This record gives sequence, C-alpha cells and structure tokens, in this order.
Amino acid sequence: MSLLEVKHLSFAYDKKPILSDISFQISQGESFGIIGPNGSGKTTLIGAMSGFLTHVEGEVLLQGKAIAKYRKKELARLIAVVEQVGTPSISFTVEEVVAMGRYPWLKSFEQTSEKDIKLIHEALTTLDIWEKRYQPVNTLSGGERQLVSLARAMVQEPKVLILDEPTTYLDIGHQIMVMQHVRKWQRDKGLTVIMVLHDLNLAAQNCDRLLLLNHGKIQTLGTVAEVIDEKILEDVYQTKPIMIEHPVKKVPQILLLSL
Amino acid sequence: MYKQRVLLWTAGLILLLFLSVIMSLMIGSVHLPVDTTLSILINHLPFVEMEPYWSVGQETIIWDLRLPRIILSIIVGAMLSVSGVAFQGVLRNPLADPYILGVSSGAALGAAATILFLQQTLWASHFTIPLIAFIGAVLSLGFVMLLSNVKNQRGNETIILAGVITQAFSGAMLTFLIAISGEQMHQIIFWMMGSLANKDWIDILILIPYYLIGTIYLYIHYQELNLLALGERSAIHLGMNVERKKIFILMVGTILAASAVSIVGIIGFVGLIIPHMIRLITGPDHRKLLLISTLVGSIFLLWTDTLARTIVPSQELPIGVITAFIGAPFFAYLLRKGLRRGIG
Repeated sequence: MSLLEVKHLSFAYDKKPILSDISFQISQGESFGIIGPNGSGKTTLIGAMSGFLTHVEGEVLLQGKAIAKYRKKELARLIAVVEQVGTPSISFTVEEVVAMGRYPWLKSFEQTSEKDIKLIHEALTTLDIWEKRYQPVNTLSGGERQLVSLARAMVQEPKVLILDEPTTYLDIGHQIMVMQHVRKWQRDKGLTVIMVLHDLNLAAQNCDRLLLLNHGKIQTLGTVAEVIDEKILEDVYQTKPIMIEHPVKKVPQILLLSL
Repeated sequence: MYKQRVLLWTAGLILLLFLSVIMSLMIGSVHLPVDTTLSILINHLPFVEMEPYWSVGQETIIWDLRLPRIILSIIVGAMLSVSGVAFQGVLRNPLADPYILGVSSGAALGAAATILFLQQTLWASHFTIPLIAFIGAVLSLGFVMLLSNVKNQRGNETIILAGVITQAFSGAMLTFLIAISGEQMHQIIFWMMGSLANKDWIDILILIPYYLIGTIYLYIHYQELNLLALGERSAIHLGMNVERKKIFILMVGTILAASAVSIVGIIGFVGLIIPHMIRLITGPDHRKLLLISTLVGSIFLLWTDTLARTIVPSQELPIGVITAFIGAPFFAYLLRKGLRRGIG
C-alpha cells in the first residue's frame, strides 16, 4: 500500500489554476523528486501534500486517511517540512530553534525530557552545527540556517520529510553533506523523502522517481532515466540540454550551454 | 545554569518589588517612618494583634489610600506588559502594543459617552464608567476581528490595519463627543490620560480574575508564542493550530488591556516599552520574557504612579504623562541601539 496518495488534486488562486488534476502515489522509503520550471506549481503541490493548503480540490491521503482529518500535532509527528526560506533571522539560539521540533511530541506546557535533549544534541552533531548551538540564528549565514531547519525537522522524527529546495543556499560541500545525511536517515529509519529541486543533476542522483511539473500539470512521472530526457526537458524548459552520463553513479546528467 | 539564572532574576525582582512597595507606602504628602509602615501592614495580617502606637489617620493613609493604589499599579503594570509581550509575539511587529486593536479608543469612547450622558442619571457611577468603557473596548475588538476575517484566516498586516481603521473611527466619534462636551471636557480628558487616584479595594477585586486568568493563559502558551517567531507557516508545519491560537492569544491580551484601561484609563508606553526592554535582557524565549516582563511592568508602574502622586506637591499628575515622558526617550534609546547593531 502506498504511504501517500494524491488523488485528482486541483488548486486555483484567484480563479487562476495553479494545479490541475494531479494524481500519483508514493511508497514508504522512497525518495521522490518534484522538478519543473519556475511557476509550475511545485511549492503549491507540496503545500497541499503537507496539509498547509486547505482549500484544495481532490484529496491527499496519508496512510489511507485524508490529511485534512488528522489532528495538527498528529500530522506534524508524521510529516516534517523544511521550507525554502530556511529559518528566519531571529534571535533565538540554534539549539532553541532545533528544540522547537519536539513541539508536536510535547503536551501543552510540557518541558523537554532527557530523551528529547538527546535527540536535539544528536541532530546538532550530525549536521555539524554543534559548535554553533548557543549562537543566535540571526548571526548565521543562509546555508547554516538551512541546516538549522533540517536539524529541527530531524528531531521532529517524522515518517515523511518534505524538502523545498533544500540546497538553495548551500555550497557544494554542504549540498553533498545534506544529501548524504538525508540518504542515511532514509536507510536507518525507512524515511520517505519528497523533495522539490531546481538542480536536475542533484535530482537525478538523489531520487528514485521524479515528477516533472509543467503549468500545474504532470508532464512526466517516472524513473530518473525516463524523466531526465533530452526531448522532454527541452520541451518543458525551452532550452537544449547536453546529456551525459554520471561517470560513477551511471545516471543521466545534463550540461547547459549559454551563448 | 540557565534555569538558575532565571530563578535568580525572578527572586531579585520579587525582592525589589517588595522593597518598592514599602518605600512607596512611606512616600507621599505625609511621610511615614518605615517601622510604623511595617507595623500597620503586619497588624493587618490574620492572627496578629498589636497595640497601635500610630494614629487612625496614619492607618487610613497606609491601608485605605496608599496600599490599594500600589497594589492596583502592580496589577495594571503586569497586565499591560504581559499583554504587550503577547501582541509583539503574535504580530511580530515591533510597534505592536496592547492598544493596537483599538482597545484604548473603544474604551475611551465608552468612558466619554458615560461621563457625558449617563453619569448624572445612574446611581452606581463609580462602576458605570469602567463597565461601559470595557464594553466599548470589547466591541472594538469584535469589530477588528470581523473586519480582518478572510475565510477564517487573518494576516498580521490585515489585523493591524483593521485596528488602525477601528481606532480612527472611534477616535473621530470621541473627538466629536469631546467637542460637544462642554464642562465635562476636563473629566474626559483626564480619564484619557490615565490615573490610579481614588481607587479602592473593590477595583482591585474586579481586576484580579482578569489578571490571573489572562496571565496564566499566556504563560501556558509560551511555546506557541515561541513557534510563531519561526513564521506562521513553520508553526503550522510543527503542528500548531496557528489560526485558533493566534486569535485566542490576541483576544486574551486585549481583554487584559481592556479591563485594566477600563479601571485606570489609558496608560501608554508600558505595554510597548517593557517587552522590548526585557527582550534585550532575556532574549526572545517567551518562558522568561512573560515572567520577567510581568515583574518589571509591576515595578515600573508602581514607581511611575508614586511619581505621579508626589512629584508636584498637593497635585495629581496623570500617570500616562509620566509613562510617556520616561517611555519615549527610552524607546528612542532602544531604537538607536538597535540601529547601531544593524537590526531594527
């Protein structure tokens, strides 16, 4: 049975359709990429899948139950979202922000326990921000703030992790670190990962399946080899990619040529 | 280490508050020595019987005149600052204060209307002004909530603008009332400047339930206030019912301010300055922020009221004048400091 199922999802803003009749399924442990040009509806789609957008047509089922029927905290124990914008520039410390990830597991006014603190410390160490734990978030760079968001999602202990452009502000070293870490987390805990990516090469290397969105509709849904295809990409992105094969991973990669 | 520091701060501030109460009791048009002041207080404790060596007049000054006023200032100071913390936390706007949803102008309109049309006709005039001022404040809040509602969601900017509109409209009606008020104009203006004079124990008893319930409600929502700092979208993803909690916290904050304003009139700047100042000391964590702001707000208003009744001999100054007098330069200082740090 699929873990997450999107059924005939449509969404319009001010009568302008953003998504129209989207249906697909994601199974547990999968690494699912959502790609597409600017304005194709990627962020809206994950907004609906995470239960943030409520006024949508169609249904999103999580473990067979409509996402709108979950209690908010219950849903947050199943799905964590790392937003594109990262953690805003606030004066809370890194550790305080990461600790907020425990919120869905705590009762109102309940304090963090030994176990919570252990999880928080683990996440800080894994993502290499332990040294910065007492620093206010507003003294960190955009990339470091992205890591803080990811650490917060880790301590949330979700079954599904949704990443919206997780690598936007990261240098290549941290990009690889984040991706490797997500992979490891996936192997250890059977996590399901849904990520929106602009970087098609990163998507090709890190996803089992890809969904290519265009004008709010599914253009192609399939394996990396099926989607990262010269003809399809040229159609959607209006630019001609040069296709090569990744020498180690043996997945299709693209080069761009700007004249 | 972290918890101990908060405890230390709390204990220190409680001690300071206690000392302030004693000192303020001694100061006034009649100066009373510290031993007499303490003896009169102790004599009012249950199961204590002392042979009074003080006059009935001294007892009246301490117990019936100064003490209720001091306790009232402590409660009102706490209510306004804790409400300010809630407003700034929810709206994430540095200019947010307890009056931003039109509470003060709604209450002022109610008070002015009462002074103008009802005061001579109703028997319970001591309570009609607070009651109708409170109704005015609650009506303003209701109007803001209706005006800012879009499919049961309310954006922060929309809420603030709805507050501005409400204030402008009740401000216009208030000005109209003042213009036609004639000899009652003086009383209306003085009400609007705020005062803790001529209050008694009953006013305190009226405020205490609002104070306790409101403050406790905000205390137990410190986590929600913290989450909102991440932005509403993140707070939703973390499992917080943002729309509902936001409205509840704003309503509780408004009711706190509305009940205080109804009794003592409009005292500005406390709910704006104290939260800002405390945030600089404690950082943004609302667990500390709410607690410390309550205590500092109390101490601040206690001393400003003591100034209001003593600074000009044999004359009461409106307390709102003094809070603004201290508050505005202090706010300017915070602003410059913030600008130098590159935030703000």
